[in-house]
Amino acid sequence: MSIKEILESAGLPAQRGVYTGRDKPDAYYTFLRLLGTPALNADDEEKDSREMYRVTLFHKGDFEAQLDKTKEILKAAGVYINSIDAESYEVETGYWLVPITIEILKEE
Amino acid sequence: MGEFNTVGLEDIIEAFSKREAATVEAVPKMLKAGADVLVEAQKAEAMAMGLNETGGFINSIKATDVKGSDTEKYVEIYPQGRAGHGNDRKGDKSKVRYATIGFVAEYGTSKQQARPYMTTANEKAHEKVVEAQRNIWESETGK
Repeated sequence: MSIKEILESAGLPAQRGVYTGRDKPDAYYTFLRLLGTPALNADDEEKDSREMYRVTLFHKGDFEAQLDKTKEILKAAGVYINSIDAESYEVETGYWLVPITIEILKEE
Repeated sequence: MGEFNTVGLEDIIEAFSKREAATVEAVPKMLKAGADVLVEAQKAEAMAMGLNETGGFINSIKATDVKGSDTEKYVEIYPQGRAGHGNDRKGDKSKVRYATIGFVAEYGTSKQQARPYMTTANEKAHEKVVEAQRNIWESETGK
């Protein structure tokens, strides 16, 4: 299951980088891979890998329930939540931004 | 009433006292050594992510002096100072803080993709920072 599919299972659209759809919804996710590193090497081959992503929940309203749901679906998918960083408010657009840093361990 | 005697306790107390004195000396040096590595890592990552339109932002990434109390020491690493321009798009002429530029780069906006130079650099440099700090610890304490 891709990160996009995992996030969309929480009921919101998700897009890599920046949301470019014409009609921007009141709530959505963006995601971005920050780093991919080997987690385990054996016999000179990469056996497991570790990927770090920045997921951002954009929400025009009270986002707490959606944030809880996001954490729930990430944990259920075996994703590690490293941190939920400081939320900020975009006055211009009315979106709250909630950055979440996550890690996914992939077995080859 | 029972009683007990100890032998060599004074030596242990003295050894602990010496270790404490060495730690007090070593910790600020360790923090500075680690900060030097991390500053360079953040600058390199910011450069790689294209945050070098003017060069001012990259040069603004610095470590503070060692701060804290007798029981806790720390340094902070962040873009310091102000750019020579405001937010022109909004007609804001006040000089924008480099920390604000860094925040927007790190987390993005609804219209601008994030360029998380700080999280990425911190993750990549983690082991090098620890190694730099360990080297200082070992040279300062003889361990």
